[in-house]
Amino acid sequence: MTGEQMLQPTAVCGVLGRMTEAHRRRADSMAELAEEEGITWQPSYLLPGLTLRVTNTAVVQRAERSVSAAWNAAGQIAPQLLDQPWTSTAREADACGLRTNARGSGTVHGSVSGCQVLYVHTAESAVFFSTRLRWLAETAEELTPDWQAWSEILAFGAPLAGRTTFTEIRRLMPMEYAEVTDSGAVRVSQQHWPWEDYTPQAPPNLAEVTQETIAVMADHMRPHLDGTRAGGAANPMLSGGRDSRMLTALAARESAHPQQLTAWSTSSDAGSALEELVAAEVAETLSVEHRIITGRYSAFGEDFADYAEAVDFQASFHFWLMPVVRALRTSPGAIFDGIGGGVLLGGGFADPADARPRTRRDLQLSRIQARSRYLTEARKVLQDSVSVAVEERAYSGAWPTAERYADHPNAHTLTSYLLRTVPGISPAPAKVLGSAQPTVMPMVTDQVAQLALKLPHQAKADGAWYPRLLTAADPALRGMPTADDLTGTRHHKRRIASREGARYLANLIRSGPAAGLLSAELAAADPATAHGVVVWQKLLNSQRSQHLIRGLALLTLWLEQYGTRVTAADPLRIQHA
Amino acid sequence: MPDKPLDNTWVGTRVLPAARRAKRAGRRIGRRARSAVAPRIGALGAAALNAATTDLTIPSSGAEQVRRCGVVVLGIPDYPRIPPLWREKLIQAERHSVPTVLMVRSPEDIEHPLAAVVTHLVTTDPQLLAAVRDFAGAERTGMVDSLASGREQTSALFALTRVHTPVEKT
Repeated sequence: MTGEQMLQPTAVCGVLGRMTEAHRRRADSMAELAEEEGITWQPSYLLPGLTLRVTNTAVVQRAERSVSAAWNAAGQIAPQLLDQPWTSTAREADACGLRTNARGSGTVHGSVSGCQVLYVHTAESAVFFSTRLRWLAETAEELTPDWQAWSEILAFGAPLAGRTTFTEIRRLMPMEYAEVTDSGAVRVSQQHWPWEDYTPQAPPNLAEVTQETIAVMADHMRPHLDGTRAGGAANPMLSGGRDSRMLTALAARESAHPQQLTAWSTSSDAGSALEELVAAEVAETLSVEHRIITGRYSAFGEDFADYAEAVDFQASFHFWLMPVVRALRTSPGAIFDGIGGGVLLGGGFADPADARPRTRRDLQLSRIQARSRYLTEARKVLQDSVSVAVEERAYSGAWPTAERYADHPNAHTLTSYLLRTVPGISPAPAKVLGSAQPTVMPMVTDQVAQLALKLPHQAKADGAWYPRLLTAADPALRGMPTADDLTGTRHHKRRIASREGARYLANLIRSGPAAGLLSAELAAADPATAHGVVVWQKLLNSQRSQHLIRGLALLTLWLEQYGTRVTAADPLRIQHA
Repeated sequence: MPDKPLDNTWVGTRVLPAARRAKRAGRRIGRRARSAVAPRIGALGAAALNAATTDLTIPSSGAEQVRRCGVVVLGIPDYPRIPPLWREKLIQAERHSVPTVLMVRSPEDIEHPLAAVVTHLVTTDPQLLAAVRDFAGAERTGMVDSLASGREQTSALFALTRVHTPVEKT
């Protein structure tokens, strides 16, 4: 195994446009911040209109008067894709990238799935870009809190529509791009998103579609399993669900060295060990080495803060991921993650059964409410006035997305995907797992999305397609129950609802700047007392109130980091729309 | 990355959680009553307790045997993985909300995958208590006196596993 063969986790930063000395200095500062985090850059591209730094997962092509580049969390992008228009590269490789001409005009673009994370900060005649929000934020001259984004973090779990915690910086959504024109004008816009064109076709040959879907995922995974990197080692993430076992089976099938695979499981802190136990059963069935990694209860606070930092304080759905991420840092080989499976393949996140007679507006509202159900418990965690304001802001932020797809045949899927998968879920594989090893997300490729979105809903509803997909991946998976199939009650003590977890979160929030947002009950519950900590524990043991407490903890950690750098940092401003 | 939709129906948000709570409470009450009359401890591996245990690894031991246990106690096996038969019993215990308790005898025991899947960990060694508590949290960690009688050990195991969120003793 040589140094050249090892792929680094993906990192990119730079600036494109009419360059000033200040622009160049800021780009250098961003690169230095990355280096302090352990990033090792390839040789920099320092041109009149471009400063670009990439790790070795990116492909870059330099001609006499132009530069093209593409990157994603997985790496291994075919260089010839840079000869095509950026829209094709974004679509075929699910890649972000850039295209520049002489003197700095050009485009920085997002990926087709939107799950690849890229932030942009437009400045006068230039656009700064980075795979990490922190590198942009720490080097910006002016920063303003985006309280709309914070309302969405509390309500949905992440900022929507490309917003970030700062009004000046945005995340590129599917097929979005930032452009610097020849005249030096800068704008952010969106090319047509091809997933809008994929509508249910009837009647499909389901057997053929199933085989094709499995073949497309296998093709996507194969370059990461051919043994040329990391000695053939690879790391499928394996939970008790269907998507991860499908990818683990495909990894075992496609690997040149299946004995080098390790399937990784951890506790998702849901109050049951069935995920890990069922995963162990699947790994044994597939003859794949299996490791279970869980976090220490005494280290809950450290794990939570590290996760928040890794996703730039913008999401906390997968706060339990850090222990396994630390183990993966010393386990070379691509990680395979099944993000998007539930929403695209599994028919999850569907409209309610009684959707048909509802009015258009009610249906839109139900799609938004379904992704922000945590708010039904808001008054237990937040002051009344805060919970009202958060709900109003969150709904208004989600409404344009719900409205855009209101009449689309895949309305519920696309709305859920854009309100949840892209903003809230994708940072976990793209940024957290992706910080450990190159991370492959086969279920959000354009080809898989196309096949899935063209299937009629009834073929996928309630996981109806999974038995065929799993059998096609490996017949040994036929009929194997999932953890959800077996779960009766959740009787384990959740780490987040333990005394250690509750005390960390309660102390963090109550002693921080977001304490003024707390409900009277939580404000009065002193975690140092035996009864006070139980009040916090009981709310943390419930999914909805736990979600809101996690959001307040994120806000507190963010204000600790940026409170002195942003203008108007008082979190009570969240009440003023 | 696991991502499950919240159940948004009235049945899903009101009826099912209430039913689950009632089921869990019913099981707890039933187990407590049964344990008061005829306490039963299942064992996977060398439990090394003075309390009487039922070996769940014998071929005739089915799911019903696990369900009747008030608690299942496990010793660390020689095997570095969870033995397949034990895994089957642990899944049965999970399905029936039966607490599972790992006996920790050395610092390395908490590195075994069993430590990641049981509900509680206990040790007979006071020197190990801090390390076990560090790993599993105060509410999931207990001490069992190796010289105590079987009845006292049984009582200690049931006291540890009986309450989900106990009020801290000050």
